[in-house]
Amino acid sequence: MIRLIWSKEVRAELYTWKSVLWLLTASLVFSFTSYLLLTNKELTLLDQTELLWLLSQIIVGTALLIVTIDASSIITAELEQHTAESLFVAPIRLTDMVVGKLLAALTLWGALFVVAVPYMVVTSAGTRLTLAFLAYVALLGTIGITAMILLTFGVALLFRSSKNTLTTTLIILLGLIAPALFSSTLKTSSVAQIFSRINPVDNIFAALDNVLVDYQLSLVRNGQFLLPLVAFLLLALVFMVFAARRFERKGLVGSEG
Amino acid sequence: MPAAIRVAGLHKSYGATPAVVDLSFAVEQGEFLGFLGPNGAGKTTTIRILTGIIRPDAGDVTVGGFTLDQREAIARMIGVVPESRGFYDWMTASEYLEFFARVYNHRESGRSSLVGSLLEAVDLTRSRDIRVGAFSRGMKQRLGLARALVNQPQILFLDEPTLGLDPQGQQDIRNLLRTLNAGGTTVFLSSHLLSEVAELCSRIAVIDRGRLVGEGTIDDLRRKAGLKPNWRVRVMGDLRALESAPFAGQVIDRTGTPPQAELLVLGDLADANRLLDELRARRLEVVKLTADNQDLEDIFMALTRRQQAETSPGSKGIEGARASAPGNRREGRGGASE
Repeated sequence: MIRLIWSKEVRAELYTWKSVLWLLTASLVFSFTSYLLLTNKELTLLDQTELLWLLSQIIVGTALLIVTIDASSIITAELEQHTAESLFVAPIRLTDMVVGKLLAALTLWGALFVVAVPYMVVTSAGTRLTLAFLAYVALLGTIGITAMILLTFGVALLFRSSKNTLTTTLIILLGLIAPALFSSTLKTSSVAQIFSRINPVDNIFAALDNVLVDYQLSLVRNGQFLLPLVAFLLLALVFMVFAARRFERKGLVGSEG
Repeated sequence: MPAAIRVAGLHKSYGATPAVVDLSFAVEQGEFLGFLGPNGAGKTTTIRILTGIIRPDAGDVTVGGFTLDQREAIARMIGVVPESRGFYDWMTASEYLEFFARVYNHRESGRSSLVGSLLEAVDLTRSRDIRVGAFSRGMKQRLGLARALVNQPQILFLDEPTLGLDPQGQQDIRNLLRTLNAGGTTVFLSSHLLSEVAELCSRIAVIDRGRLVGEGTIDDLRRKAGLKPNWRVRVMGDLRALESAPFAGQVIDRTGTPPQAELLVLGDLADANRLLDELRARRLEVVKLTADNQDLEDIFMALTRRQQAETSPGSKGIEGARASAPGNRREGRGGASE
């Protein structure tokens, strides 16, 4: 059943050209960034590893944004286009539906990653960091994006409206990404440091910095960044399960009689 | 043989607004039940509860012998044409049915023939490769019915299944429903088309403001509503004899050559026979006597108005409501002219 829902979602994305447009947008962003990194006078003065770190931030940030926007409508569309009732009178469990849609949203992340691979390979040429670059972007991106999708699905199940879901999740994402982009001199207060330690996006960027700039390639040495990230993933999962139970309790379709 | 659907003491509220109040009824296997009620009466809520879409606040419900906690087991044996009809517009009609055939684990080998037979049953074979987004409302309606039949359901729930269909389409769907019911499928039909319900259903349940206000055959409901059956009597001969008769006010039509008159009689068979005797005594020839069964609307109005009168503050009570029921107004019209 999960596979069936996943394939339906992927086909819907392809038929509506939504995914294709997202991939094209991502490709343009990566091209523009890579071009600047390799040709701009000020940027080319940076160490190559610093360039990789900047590109990795762009890739993960762009993917987080695109997948969150996409995921915000993937569940609510069924409710708003009145297709949910037909699904739920069939022997489909909410868990199957959510997991199928989660995999569909992760497929978009997979496609974005594939689009980013050539840029990562070209910019990391000669650094012996290509594999680590690819592996850590894949690992950290997958954990962070899975957490954001679960969070988005939870909000969607609570609000049942794509507009509200999109607005809420974009505010959350902005609240996570913006502080992560602040320079370390702006994070000297204890509150800022605590937030920085628990902010998943901050941890993704810090782990990438650790790998690409400081050559700390082992997972153990990046555990301090991975643990808060995994904790965020678990929290998002708990929130999504809570929202799903509430959704089932209140009824699978709206409350109009 | 256990009932196909059994509902006892069902309650459902949306906040402070009660949608279904102490609803109890049963539908036997193979029965064709019509479920009637005004807008907002709780019909859709009831269907959504029975199909596992929403949970009731209280009450015992079994569908096909399964309780509502066994949602998946119920889902495997029912087919539903819901009120809100959404479709995956990007799929073709055959892809859409194939998707649901896969949901019900139909084997790949038989899937294509199943989809073909369903499309044929709802007369969409020629549109099988057209995207659903390009379908008219009526075509979508047919496709929704085909989807409800994908699992060859034992119980079929239909919420306004012929809405948006042209007369020919409505008749096709009714014929299909009759065939399904004759094959043993229990049908639970919610419709605003009273003629459709009268034509198809062996039993009717009327719900108003969440409460069951009547249940049974049309005759049962008529009795409950305090209405009498209509009889139409067509006579020919010297129609001047009608003018002085005490039932002159019951003449509703004069046509034809030689001239004929049609009289409407409200009452039981004895009343109709009495009229026939009086007509014969006036040397009028009775050409035709028919029971007018197109009075479900009157029964429906009488039952639902009575419920309103009973539940609204400062109500006139049942008798007051009966006096304003349309069937009795007609009776009063006849009486006034007597």
